[in-house]
Amino acid sequence: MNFDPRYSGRSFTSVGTRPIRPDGVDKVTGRARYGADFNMAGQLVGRVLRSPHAHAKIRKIDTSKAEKLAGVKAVITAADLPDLTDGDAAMYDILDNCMARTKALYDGHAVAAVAAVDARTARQALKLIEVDYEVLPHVVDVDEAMKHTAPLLNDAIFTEGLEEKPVKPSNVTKRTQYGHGDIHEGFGQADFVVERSFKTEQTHQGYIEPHACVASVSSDGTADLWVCTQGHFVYRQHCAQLLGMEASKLRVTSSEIGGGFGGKTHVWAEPVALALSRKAGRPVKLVMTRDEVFRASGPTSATSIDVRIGARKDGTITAAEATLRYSCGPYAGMWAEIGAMTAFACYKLDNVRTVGYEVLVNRPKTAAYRAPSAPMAAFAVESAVDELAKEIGMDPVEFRIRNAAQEGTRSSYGPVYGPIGIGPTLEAAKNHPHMKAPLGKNQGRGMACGFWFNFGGQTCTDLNIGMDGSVSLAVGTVDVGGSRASLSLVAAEELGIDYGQVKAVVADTSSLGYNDMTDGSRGTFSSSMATISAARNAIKTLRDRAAQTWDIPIDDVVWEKGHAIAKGEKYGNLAALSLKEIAAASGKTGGPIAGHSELVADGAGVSFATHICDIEVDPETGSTRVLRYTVVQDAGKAVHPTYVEGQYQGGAAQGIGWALNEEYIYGKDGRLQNPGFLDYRIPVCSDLPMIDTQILEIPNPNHPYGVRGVGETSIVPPLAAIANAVSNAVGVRMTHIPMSPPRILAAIEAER
Amino acid sequence: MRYIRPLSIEDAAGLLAGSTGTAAILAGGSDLLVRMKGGFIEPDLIVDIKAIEGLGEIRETAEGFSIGAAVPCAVLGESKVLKKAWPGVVEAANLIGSKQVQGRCTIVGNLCNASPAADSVPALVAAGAKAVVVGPGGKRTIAVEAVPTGPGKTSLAKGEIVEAILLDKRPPRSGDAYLRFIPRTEMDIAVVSAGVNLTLDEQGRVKSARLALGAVAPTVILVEAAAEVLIGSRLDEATLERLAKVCSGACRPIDDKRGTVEFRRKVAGVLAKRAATTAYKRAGGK
Amino acid sequence: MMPKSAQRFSDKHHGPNEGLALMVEVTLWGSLGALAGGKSKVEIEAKDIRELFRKLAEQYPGLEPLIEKGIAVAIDGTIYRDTWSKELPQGAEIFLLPRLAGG
Repeated sequence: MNFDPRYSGRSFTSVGTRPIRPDGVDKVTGRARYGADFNMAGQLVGRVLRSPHAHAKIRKIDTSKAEKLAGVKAVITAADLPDLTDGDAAMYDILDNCMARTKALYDGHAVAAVAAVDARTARQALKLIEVDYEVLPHVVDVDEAMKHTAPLLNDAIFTEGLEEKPVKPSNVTKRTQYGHGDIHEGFGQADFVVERSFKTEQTHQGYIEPHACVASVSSDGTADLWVCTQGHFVYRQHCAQLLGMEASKLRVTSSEIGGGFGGKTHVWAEPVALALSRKAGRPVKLVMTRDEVFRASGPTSATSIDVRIGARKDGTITAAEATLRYSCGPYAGMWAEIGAMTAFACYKLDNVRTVGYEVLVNRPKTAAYRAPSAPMAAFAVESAVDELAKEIGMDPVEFRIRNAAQEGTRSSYGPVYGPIGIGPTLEAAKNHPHMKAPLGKNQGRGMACGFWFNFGGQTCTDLNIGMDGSVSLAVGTVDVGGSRASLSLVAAEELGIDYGQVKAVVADTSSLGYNDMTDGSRGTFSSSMATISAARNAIKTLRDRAAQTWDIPIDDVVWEKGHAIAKGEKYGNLAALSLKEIAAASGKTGGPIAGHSELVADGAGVSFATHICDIEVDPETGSTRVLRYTVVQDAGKAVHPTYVEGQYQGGAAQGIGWALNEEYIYGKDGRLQNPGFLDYRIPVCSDLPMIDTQILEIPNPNHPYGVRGVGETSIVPPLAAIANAVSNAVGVRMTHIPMSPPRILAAIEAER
Repeated sequence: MRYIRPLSIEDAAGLLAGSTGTAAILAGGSDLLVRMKGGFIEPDLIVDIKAIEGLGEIRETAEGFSIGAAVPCAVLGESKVLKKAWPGVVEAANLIGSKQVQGRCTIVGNLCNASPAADSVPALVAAGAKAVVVGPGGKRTIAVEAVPTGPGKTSLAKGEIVEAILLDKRPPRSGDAYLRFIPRTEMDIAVVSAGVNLTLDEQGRVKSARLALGAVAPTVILVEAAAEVLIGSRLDEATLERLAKVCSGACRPIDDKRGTVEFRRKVAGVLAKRAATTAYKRAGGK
Repeated sequence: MMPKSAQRFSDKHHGPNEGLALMVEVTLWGSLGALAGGKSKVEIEAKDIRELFRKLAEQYPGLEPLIEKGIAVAIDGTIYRDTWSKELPQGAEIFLLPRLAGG
């Protein structure tokens, strides 16, 4: 590829404006089609039977009665999804999670599924399936699971990463360590040391749209899958591998998506729907209920974190360490490792060490949740940083500015930073009017910083110019936050035409080359790069067609403001040709005009944010109210500022819910007590203030427009910012998330 | 499943009395339909009482008010006279569910659903409201607190329907109030709640009082000791502190996903104080 | 306007090493080092990420499965996941990291 991704410092016409999104009208009128809105002739209803036990051996499953029920067209168990993973441990875990093979590992683990003519029959059929369980002792708490006495989830697991090879199996799958310098020496230089332990409960992404798909496997072995996903190409790969299909024979179409936040980067019910359809010979629609979404999709980790930070009187941090224990559900993950990498990433530290432990528990398989693992680590670290600033007697913003990482700093996870934006976000926060606003009785202000890596990845985009001069943009990254609008702006910018002339769609897996998922804040970053490349390729063809029309060399044709222009005085009599004119003649000048691009969008660059939050606490009930909230974050270049603000606000809103009320509550029996939005309390509109945003634009050197990913970082600081605000309001350090009213009241009472 | 929409209360009671399987009454349906959708119940018979004459009305009578079993809570909120007489009852009824649910849900449904956390019930108990029960044996009028007997259980016999809720006319210098604690601002279920109803004498001292607590025992409880603390007082600081203590002590709460024993005890006292203060002000006390 | 730091940063990319394989020092993260015989830094002659991975796998066979599964390379602090053709500029800091998940 001859595409040059470097930042060019150009000025913009379309990029940076705020037009209406192309998917907006359909979404507000209800015409947009989400996962459950697709139907096929003869389609069956799929339903999944789930384990009521947290941990149980499956002795036997008898499906004969269910199979005999009129209207039942297929019943499947793990036997219908044979192991084709060929030693790929991660894929085997996905398979086992989709349908339990020998053990049910959590309340809600799928054990069988049916496809029937209607929902009622399917429900009845589930009741007729007899599962003989041998109930085993279970463990759901991350600290309990690490104890030697804890029930083992998998006796083939021996902790990796220990100096000495362990002789006994453990629920700890892996130990990882990051850092540099000598922390003992560092703590020796400290005048003040803060040491605390923190806990965060498990939370769910809480997307409003449950997982839903329609699978249709033909008798010739080809198949279609319509599904709500963040990455249809990845779903295709995973489903094809698990079902033993060739990827090209499975066409996956992504529906509109009602939220994903990482939870739709992983297959849950889709391989089951395909297996049901394959067995029944008819299309199968499988829609998870909310109860199933909570019990059996992929929430984030519950954590237990110890932090120790030391500083000199002058406010310089001399040493920092953290031990992070993250629950992974029943399968190995790298969640604590990501926590260990991100924990101190905001700071310039000579001596730092973080240790992560991945812990198996009888809870659903942990999946990515918006900057996965970073918010919990930031909660612990930023709480301790605040406390340390207080002990030293420094303003918390000044203390952070003094210790902020900058270009040339060795990051706590290893590499030396290039140009980064933590300092500017802190300076902007310091100068924000929010910081100076007066506070009333029982009110507290908190602030915190957050870091996330951001990714790019494999991307493929097509840009087709119609004969009428309108432009179809086919992208392969699912639009989760307005990226079709942003990418249309980018295409319009590059081609020099109106935004309204471009229509972007998310193409299915058979229409476009492979694309990585929309994860790691990469959607607009990556696909805008591919769109620029595709547009430039199309421009080359447009110039060529103009050159043919004029019968002059292509090198004498330039592209400016949507027109081909013959360069030089000798062509003074040639009027510029518009894109429309060239398109109209395309049938005679060589056929359709298109630009294609396939690339790896790399160099996304790390991202930082600083948040400020004001909270009022009712000291008699522990009730909280978020009064004011401000997000400051670097976007590199905000392609569509409204959707950048939307990402900032959305992350803050989710963080507020996580910080104050959201949590998985398990009973003594290991069953989830609150699998619904009544008792799993995401914020409602009236719980939130208007979330103010400030976009900083420090160009990313590795993107032609300077774009950075913006989707995830905004969820990293809220837990800490809110904890600091509550702690300041009540005068007690809050160490357990969520800070629900009973926890706040108990903390206040304990202090009295 | 049979769905029947009778035109008289007698027919409705007869259908229920004659049913063989599971029968359910449908008014607003905001509890019933959720349970059916969730697969928790599959009734064989549904008796929709919304077409029965008079059940959708609020009537002013010589004794006070009669609120029909099919009157949506939103309609209570729109009744100026009712709101003026019983602001605590109306604010409690208007806290149930969401805006959309308000258009369907009823206080009789809220009462007969027999949840200890039902929002309108503590306010109705504090108000001394009565339930008119119609059944195969005829009509009887009982105190609302006699309807629920435990979570999801009522004292109603087979075939019995609560036709209306009766509220007394207000003597002068009366006020009521309801407060609940929820972690969110709306769309939630009470973790603890308190309803208070007061009448003052001419000197501004509490002459009569009723206080009920929700979500702190298997049913909503009428705290008689709280009334004793309040009567004769002008709600000074010391009285309020005693009230909080008595209310906290009257709780028999459990630890569950919505709150702890300690939290419920403490907050029951806090809400009792605050609700009593509001009721006192509404009664004209200073 | 391009900020000074960004200008300087991208200037590094203006000076390609013209296809010559150079000796680069590669830092391995904790658990990766254990698979390379306990080393935290290794010297490899490589012009781009492809060559780096190939030679790492040759010289330290223990790393091969991990490279196969996916490793990220930080070049002067910027993380690359899949760009084999990315050149390793002279004097750049090369840091190997595990491949991470995102939301």
